[in-house]
Amino acid sequence: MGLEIGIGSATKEKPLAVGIDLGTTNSLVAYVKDSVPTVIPGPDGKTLVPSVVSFQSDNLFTGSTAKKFQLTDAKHTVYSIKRLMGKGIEDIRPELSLLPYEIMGHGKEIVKIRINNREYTPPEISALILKELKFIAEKELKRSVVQAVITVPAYFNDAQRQATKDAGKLAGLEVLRILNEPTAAALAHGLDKIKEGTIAVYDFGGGTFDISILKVKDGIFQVLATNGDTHLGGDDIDSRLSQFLMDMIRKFGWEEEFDANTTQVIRDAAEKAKLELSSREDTLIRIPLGDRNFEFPLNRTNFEALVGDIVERTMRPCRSALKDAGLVPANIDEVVLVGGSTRMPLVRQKVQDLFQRVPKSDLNPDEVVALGAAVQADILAGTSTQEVLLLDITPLSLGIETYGGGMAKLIERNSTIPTSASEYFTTFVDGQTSIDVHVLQGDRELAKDNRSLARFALKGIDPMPAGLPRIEVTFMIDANGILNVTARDMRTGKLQSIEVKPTYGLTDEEVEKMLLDSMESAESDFSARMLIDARNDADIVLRATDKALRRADEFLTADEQGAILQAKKELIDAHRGEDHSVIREKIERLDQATQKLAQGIMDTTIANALRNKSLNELELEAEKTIHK
Amino acid sequence: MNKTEAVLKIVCPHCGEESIPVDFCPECSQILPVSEGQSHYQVLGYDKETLSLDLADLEKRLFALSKKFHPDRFANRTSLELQLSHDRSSAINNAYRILKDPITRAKYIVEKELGSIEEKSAKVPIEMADFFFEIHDILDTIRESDGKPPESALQEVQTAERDLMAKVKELEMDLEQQFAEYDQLPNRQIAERMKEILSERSYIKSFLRQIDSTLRGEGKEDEPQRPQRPQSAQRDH
Repeated sequence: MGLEIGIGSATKEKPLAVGIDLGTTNSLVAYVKDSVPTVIPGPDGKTLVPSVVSFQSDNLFTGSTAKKFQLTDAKHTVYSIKRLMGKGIEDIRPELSLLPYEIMGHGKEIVKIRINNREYTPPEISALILKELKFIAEKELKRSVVQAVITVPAYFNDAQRQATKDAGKLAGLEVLRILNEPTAAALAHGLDKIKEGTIAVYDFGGGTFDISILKVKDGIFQVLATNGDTHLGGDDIDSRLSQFLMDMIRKFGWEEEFDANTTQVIRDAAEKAKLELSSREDTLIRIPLGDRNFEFPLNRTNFEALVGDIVERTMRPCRSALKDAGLVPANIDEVVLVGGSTRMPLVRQKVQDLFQRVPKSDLNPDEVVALGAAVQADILAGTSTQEVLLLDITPLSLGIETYGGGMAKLIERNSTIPTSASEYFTTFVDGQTSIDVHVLQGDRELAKDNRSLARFALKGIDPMPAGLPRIEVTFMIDANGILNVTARDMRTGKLQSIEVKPTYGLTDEEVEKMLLDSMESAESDFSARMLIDARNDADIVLRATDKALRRADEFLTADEQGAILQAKKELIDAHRGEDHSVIREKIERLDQATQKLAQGIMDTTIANALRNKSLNELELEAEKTIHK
Repeated sequence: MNKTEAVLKIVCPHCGEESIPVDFCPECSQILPVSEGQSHYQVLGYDKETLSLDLADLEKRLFALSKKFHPDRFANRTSLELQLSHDRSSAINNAYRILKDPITRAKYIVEKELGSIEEKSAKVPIEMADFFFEIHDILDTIRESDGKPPESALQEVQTAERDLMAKVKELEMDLEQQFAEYDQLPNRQIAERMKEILSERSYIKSFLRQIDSTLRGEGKEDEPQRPQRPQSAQRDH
């Protein structure tokens, strides 16, 4: 079993790529079936696969089976991992107390989650979810699936995008494209509903908020501007309501402290209430505490007052995006709602007020992103008949730290991608053989106020007097919105080698190692499964054999019985061992040894059964069987 | 030597065949690298480099070239082709961005003619020096007023803001008027005039950003720069 990753990999099957919406709360996988984008349901029949992973002793659960453990074993159940992708510990400090599983990290480096004495990086956890989606697709399509388009919030920075791409790789997928969620939604919506015009996509999901403004014309979907908040979503509304409920519980003297499981139970109740209040004016919240139920009535008006400011936070990015696009609300032809949180009446009202038109949600707001991703996957795999093209943009400005701590901007935000900029570097000290470049994203004047992306070391420069070397560094943001850096020595014309140290991410070497480790453990996981299966089957055969042996004297000679006992002993020995193929072999042997005995027992059983029935009954039974 | 023989040749990085610069190798049909040193106009297929441009036509060129060279079209090809398509697309997108906005378009042509325009050291337009100093002082007052700025100060700054925005529009119109003249007969004089307009506009825009951040409080930590006195300025009494 070798690495099957690569462009045009050695598979004889027709190419097929799936679209994956890797969401904060729920994920979906979709593909284009007979020219129609279609979501594939999970093992429970639902299209939404919870983005939850639970580690239960030796077993790993993902999706809906994992979600059940959220309330009973919160410490070992990881959810909302998307909020941790591409981040350092300082970024998530404010919400550490709300997450029940153990998170660690220090300074400016990738965060890790600690479960059962093992540490996992967010891409590794996301990879487990992606593996589940891959499995769901393969089961439905009855073939291997190795290519995928994975969506991300449009406002995701470079580190967050790279982390998503790494997760795909760790899951055994060739990621054809990292696609922006609003663009995917526009694609699904545009192919279906609006052929030409200016669309605003308002995407309010579980953990992130995006607003994108696109122009659709001549089959080209051109993103004009994008803005958002990668830390604003339905989760925050749940948290707000949870905190409020906890305050109420304390106020009424029911409890003072809440353990991990209880916190999750309250959170679960809050989420349910939120969903209820989207279609009803009031609801009764019921929280099981110990052996009593804490009941609290909540109406929509009070709920909206409680969370109104969170929804209000989505308005500023909308205004900024309009400004960047050089447009006013009147210029927008359609507003498309995406994401579960847009089901809230308060959200719909605020969007309508800002854009001065009724927003559309014809396509299922939970599924539209996955459907769009499937369309793009179909195009990139070369299997599509669509003549559309997506011209997307980078959401954040990119620059380098200059001597003195300033930030020199190289690429402006909202630039159409791919895009590139070049800078020339030289040495400051005689004999200097390497130059460091610190790359950042953001629009602030000082480097320290922007988001550190990575440090690049230009290595192997020939030693010479300071100021003589001339290295041209090209910063290119590719179609995924991810930075690629190449460097060329202008004196020799040769490509310069670059060492990349991502600030909040994994190096290529780290990802490769994780991949190899997971493949090794995949082998041993697989073997472990096979062993368990073989032992179970052996147990069944041994029990049946013992039962049959009680009547052995009726049918078998002493030698024949001896042969069975010998085969039985060999199987018991194999059962104690670790090799599943040996167990299987011994099961086969025992089966053969007991054939005569089994036949004998069966014959007498039938004979007895026949003797106990009258001839007439037998005839009637025979007739019934024939006419079935 | 015949003129056609002196034409630049390009070597296909995929199959090694030599050819004149076209988009795809005549031998193996794979995408060829972008020719070095092309101007933004050449990248978008223009014959002449004019300051006046039809924006609808510009967009058509962007769309047509994108459909041909965007990485999405090369997702299933070799990784070298995918990389070359990225290079091509970058060149196309960069060219479109510069040529679409009349300001960056003008700056591009002027810099070709006269060399780089250093934006960071844009100087105060002399005749407005006093005005800028006054407003800068008022901005200081507002910043130091601890959230309770005097109403008169606010009014003055808001009026100044409106006036400066109008001035920017004026300058932009002035600039565009130079376009037709320059296209008729490209000359250094007009280029110099455009350079001045661009410089003045640049200064006013940066001052407007200071006003904006003071009035609306975004990015307070970014200390605005005090306008530098032009060395030869004489204060009139």
